[in-house]
Amino acid sequence: MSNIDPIPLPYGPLQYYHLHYILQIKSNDNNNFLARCKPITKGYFHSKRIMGVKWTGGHNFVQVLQADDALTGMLKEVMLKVGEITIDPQDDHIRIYGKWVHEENLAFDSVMFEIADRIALHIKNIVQKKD
Amino acid sequence: MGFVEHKNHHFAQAKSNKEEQKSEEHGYGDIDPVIVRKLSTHEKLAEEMKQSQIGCEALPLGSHPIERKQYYSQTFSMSPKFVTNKGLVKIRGKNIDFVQLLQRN
Repeated sequence: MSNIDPIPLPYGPLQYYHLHYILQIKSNDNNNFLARCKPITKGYFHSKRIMGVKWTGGHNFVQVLQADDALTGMLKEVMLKVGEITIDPQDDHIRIYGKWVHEENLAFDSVMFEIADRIALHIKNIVQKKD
Repeated sequence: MGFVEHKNHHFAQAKSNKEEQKSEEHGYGDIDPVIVRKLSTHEKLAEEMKQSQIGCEALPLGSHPIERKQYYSQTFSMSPKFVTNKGLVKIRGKNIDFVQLLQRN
Protein backbone atom coordinates (compact mmCIF):
# COMPACT_ATOMS: atom_id res chain seq x y z
CA MET A 1 0.00 0.00 0.00
CA SER A 2 1.42 3.39 -0.96
CA ASN A 3 2.08 5.96 1.73
CA ILE A 4 -0.15 9.01 1.32
CA ASP A 5 1.47 12.25 2.45
CA PRO A 6 -0.75 13.62 5.27
CA ILE A 7 0.60 17.16 4.76
CA PRO A 8 0.87 17.76 0.98
CA LEU A 9 2.90 20.72 -0.26
CA PRO A 10 0.71 23.81 -0.71
CA TYR A 11 2.57 24.91 -3.86
CA GLY A 12 3.66 23.57 -7.23
CA PRO A 13 2.11 23.39 -10.68
CA LEU A 14 -1.58 22.51 -10.89
CA GLN A 15 -3.25 20.55 -13.70
CA TYR A 16 -4.83 23.69 -15.20
CA TYR A 17 -3.70 25.41 -18.36
CA HIS A 18 -4.38 28.76 -20.00
CA LEU A 19 -4.15 29.31 -23.73
CA HIS A 20 -3.26 32.90 -24.67
CA TYR A 21 -3.74 34.20 -28.20
CA ILE A 22 -1.25 37.05 -28.54
CA LEU A 23 -1.40 39.95 -30.98
CA GLN A 24 1.84 41.96 -31.17
CA ILE A 25 0.81 45.58 -31.60
CA LYS A 26 2.34 48.75 -30.19
CA SER A 27 0.16 51.84 -29.96
CA ASN A 28 -0.63 54.58 -27.47
CA ASP A 29 -4.23 53.36 -27.24
CA ASN A 30 -3.53 49.77 -26.21
CA ASN A 31 -5.29 50.35 -22.87
CA ASN A 32 -8.55 51.11 -24.68
CA PHE A 33 -8.78 47.50 -25.85
CA LEU A 34 -9.54 46.18 -22.38
CA ALA A 35 -12.72 44.10 -22.67
CA ARG A 36 -14.48 41.00 -21.44
CA CYS A 37 -17.24 38.91 -23.00
CA LYS A 38 -19.82 37.05 -20.91
CA PRO A 39 -22.70 34.89 -22.14
CA ILE A 40 -26.39 35.65 -21.62
CA THR A 41 -27.89 32.27 -20.75
CA LYS A 42 -31.29 30.73 -20.19
CA GLY A 43 -32.07 27.57 -18.21
CA TYR A 44 -29.87 25.42 -16.00
CA PHE A 45 -27.70 22.31 -16.35
CA HIS A 46 -28.66 20.27 -19.47
CA SER A 47 -31.25 22.81 -20.59
CA LYS A 48 -28.77 25.73 -20.40
CA ARG A 49 -28.75 27.70 -23.67
CA ILE A 50 -26.77 30.72 -24.86
CA MET A 51 -29.17 33.51 -25.85
CA GLY A 52 -26.53 36.12 -26.62
CA VAL A 53 -23.23 37.61 -25.53
CA LYS A 54 -22.45 40.81 -23.69
CA TRP A 55 -19.21 42.73 -24.08
CA THR A 56 -18.03 45.06 -21.33
CA GLY A 57 -15.04 47.38 -21.50
CA GLY A 58 -13.78 50.35 -23.54
CA HIS A 59 -16.84 52.03 -25.12
CA ASN A 60 -15.86 52.32 -28.82
CA PHE A 61 -14.09 48.97 -29.00
CA VAL A 62 -16.98 47.12 -27.34
CA GLN A 63 -19.45 48.68 -29.79
CA VAL A 64 -17.40 47.37 -32.72
CA LEU A 65 -17.30 43.85 -31.25
CA GLN A 66 -20.99 43.83 -30.34
CA ALA A 67 -21.93 44.95 -33.86
CA ASP A 68 -20.09 42.03 -35.51
CA ASP A 69 -22.80 39.41 -36.11
CA ALA A 70 -20.41 36.76 -37.42
CA LEU A 71 -18.33 37.08 -34.24
CA THR A 72 -21.45 36.84 -32.08
CA GLY A 73 -22.51 33.68 -33.93
CA MET A 74 -19.13 32.05 -33.31
CA LEU A 75 -19.16 33.14 -29.66
CA LYS A 76 -22.58 31.55 -29.13
CA GLU A 77 -21.06 28.26 -30.30
CA VAL A 78 -18.22 28.17 -27.78
CA MET A 79 -19.35 30.23 -24.81
CA LEU A 80 -20.97 27.28 -23.04
CA LYS A 81 -17.58 25.57 -23.01
CA VAL A 82 -15.21 28.57 -22.76
CA GLY A 83 -17.27 30.51 -20.18
CA GLU A 84 -15.85 33.96 -20.81
CA ILE A 85 -13.35 35.67 -23.09
CA THR A 86 -10.97 38.34 -21.83
CA ILE A 87 -8.98 40.83 -23.87
CA ASP A 88 -6.02 41.88 -21.74
CA PRO A 89 -3.86 44.63 -23.30
CA GLN A 90 -0.26 45.30 -22.33
CA ASP A 91 2.35 47.82 -23.56
CA ASP A 92 3.44 46.08 -26.75
CA HIS A 93 1.00 43.21 -27.15
CA ILE A 94 -2.61 42.21 -26.49
CA ARG A 95 -3.62 38.88 -25.00
CA ILE A 96 -6.95 37.15 -25.67
CA TYR A 97 -7.87 34.21 -23.47
CA GLY A 98 -10.72 32.18 -22.05
CA LYS A 99 -10.98 30.28 -18.78
CA TRP A 100 -8.52 27.80 -17.25
CA VAL A 101 -8.72 24.35 -18.80
CA HIS A 102 -8.01 21.07 -17.02
CA GLU A 103 -5.21 19.06 -18.65
CA GLU A 104 -7.72 16.32 -19.59
CA ASN A 105 -9.60 18.84 -21.77
CA LEU A 106 -6.54 20.65 -23.12
CA ALA A 107 -6.83 20.64 -26.92
CA PHE A 108 -6.66 23.10 -29.77
CA ASP A 109 -10.07 24.65 -30.52
CA SER A 110 -10.31 25.93 -34.10
CA VAL A 111 -13.48 28.00 -33.40
CA MET A 112 -11.81 29.75 -30.46
CA PHE A 113 -8.81 30.43 -32.70
CA GLU A 114 -11.12 31.98 -35.34
CA ILE A 115 -12.73 34.16 -32.65
CA ALA A 116 -9.36 35.40 -31.40
CA ASP A 117 -8.27 36.01 -35.00
CA ARG A 118 -11.39 38.08 -35.71
CA ILE A 119 -10.95 40.15 -32.53
CA ALA A 120 -7.31 40.75 -33.56
CA LEU A 121 -8.54 41.91 -36.98
CA HIS A 122 -10.86 44.48 -35.34
CA ILE A 123 -8.01 45.74 -33.13
CA LYS A 124 -5.70 46.12 -36.15
CA ASN A 125 -8.40 48.00 -38.09
CA ILE A 126 -9.02 50.43 -35.21
CA VAL A 127 -5.28 51.11 -34.77
CA GLN A 128 -4.81 51.63 -38.53
CA LYS A 129 -7.73 54.08 -38.67
CA LYS A 130 -6.24 56.16 -35.85
CA ASP A 131 -2.79 56.21 -37.50
CA MET B 1 32.11 -18.56 -5.99
CA GLY B 2 33.97 -17.70 -9.16
CA PHE B 3 33.05 -21.04 -10.64
CA VAL B 4 29.34 -20.42 -10.06
CA GLU B 5 29.53 -17.02 -11.72
CA HIS B 6 31.28 -18.48 -14.73
CA LYS B 7 28.66 -21.19 -14.99
CA ASN B 8 25.77 -18.66 -14.89
CA HIS B 9 27.41 -16.50 -17.52
CA HIS B 10 27.97 -19.48 -19.76
CA PHE B 11 24.32 -20.49 -19.41
CA ALA B 12 23.13 -16.96 -20.21
CA GLN B 13 25.36 -16.77 -23.29
CA ALA B 14 24.06 -20.11 -24.52
CA LYS B 15 20.49 -18.89 -24.04
CA SER B 16 21.10 -15.67 -25.96
CA ASN B 17 22.73 -17.61 -28.81
CA LYS B 18 19.63 -19.79 -29.00
CA GLU B 19 17.39 -16.68 -29.12
CA GLU B 20 19.48 -15.17 -31.90
CA GLN B 21 19.17 -18.36 -33.90
CA LYS B 22 15.42 -18.40 -33.34
CA SER B 23 15.00 -14.78 -34.42
CA GLU B 24 17.01 -15.40 -37.58
CA GLU B 25 14.84 -18.40 -38.40
CA HIS B 26 11.63 -16.41 -37.93
CA GLY B 27 12.96 -13.18 -39.42
CA TYR B 28 12.81 -11.07 -36.21
CA GLY B 29 16.14 -9.40 -37.09
CA ASP B 30 14.57 -7.47 -39.99
CA ILE B 31 12.32 -5.28 -37.78
CA ASP B 32 13.19 -1.59 -38.02
CA PRO B 33 13.81 0.17 -34.71
CA VAL B 34 10.84 2.18 -33.42
CA ILE B 35 11.91 5.75 -32.61
CA VAL B 36 9.70 7.48 -30.03
CA ARG B 37 10.04 11.27 -29.89
CA LYS B 38 8.72 12.86 -26.72
CA LEU B 39 6.82 16.09 -27.47
CA SER B 40 6.34 18.85 -24.94
CA THR B 41 2.84 20.28 -24.41
CA HIS B 42 3.26 23.28 -26.72
CA GLU B 43 4.75 21.08 -29.44
CA LYS B 44 1.69 18.82 -29.24
CA LEU B 45 -0.49 21.91 -29.55
CA ALA B 46 1.45 23.01 -32.63
CA GLU B 47 0.93 19.57 -34.19
CA GLU B 48 -2.84 19.86 -33.59
CA MET B 49 -2.82 23.32 -35.21
CA LYS B 50 -0.99 21.98 -38.25
CA GLN B 51 -3.69 19.32 -38.61
CA SER B 52 -6.24 22.18 -38.74
CA GLN B 53 -4.32 23.73 -41.68
CA ILE B 54 -2.82 26.56 -39.61
CA GLY B 55 0.78 27.48 -40.39
CA CYS B 56 2.69 27.46 -37.10
CA GLU B 57 5.97 26.61 -35.45
CA ALA B 58 6.68 25.65 -31.83
CA LEU B 59 9.50 27.88 -30.55
CA PRO B 60 12.13 26.62 -28.09
CA LEU B 61 11.24 27.35 -24.47
CA GLY B 62 12.33 30.84 -23.34
CA SER B 63 13.63 31.86 -26.77
CA HIS B 64 11.28 34.84 -27.31
CA PRO B 65 11.35 38.10 -25.28
CA ILE B 66 7.55 37.95 -24.81
CA GLU B 67 8.10 34.94 -22.51
CA ARG B 68 10.15 37.09 -20.13
CA LYS B 69 7.47 39.76 -19.68
CA GLN B 70 4.36 39.78 -17.50
CA TYR B 71 1.66 37.41 -18.70
CA TYR B 72 -1.24 39.33 -17.13
CA SER B 73 -1.81 43.07 -16.81
CA GLN B 74 -3.49 42.46 -13.39
CA THR B 75 -6.28 44.86 -14.43
CA PHE B 76 -8.92 42.18 -13.94
CA SER B 77 -9.63 40.76 -10.52
CA MET B 78 -8.75 37.07 -10.05
CA SER B 79 -5.79 37.37 -12.43
CA PRO B 80 -3.27 34.72 -11.35
CA LYS B 81 0.11 35.79 -9.92
CA PHE B 82 2.02 32.52 -10.19
CA VAL B 83 2.05 30.75 -13.52
CA THR B 84 4.58 28.67 -15.44
CA ASN B 85 5.33 29.28 -19.09
CA LYS B 86 4.94 26.02 -21.02
CA GLY B 87 5.93 27.35 -24.43
CA LEU B 88 5.15 29.64 -27.32
CA VAL B 89 3.83 28.77 -30.79
CA LYS B 90 4.45 31.23 -33.62
CA ILE B 91 1.52 31.58 -36.05
CA ARG B 92 2.01 32.42 -39.73
CA GLY B 93 -0.49 34.08 -42.07
CA LYS B 94 -3.08 35.09 -39.45
CA ASN B 95 -3.87 38.20 -37.42
CA ILE B 96 -2.77 36.42 -34.25
CA ASP B 97 1.02 36.33 -33.91
CA PHE B 98 1.57 33.83 -31.09
CA VAL B 99 -0.21 31.28 -28.94
CA GLN B 100 1.22 30.83 -25.46
CA LEU B 101 0.51 28.00 -23.07
CA LEU B 102 0.61 28.72 -19.32
CA GLN B 103 0.24 26.36 -16.38
CA ARG B 104 -1.29 27.44 -13.10
CA ASN B 105 0.80 27.21 -9.91
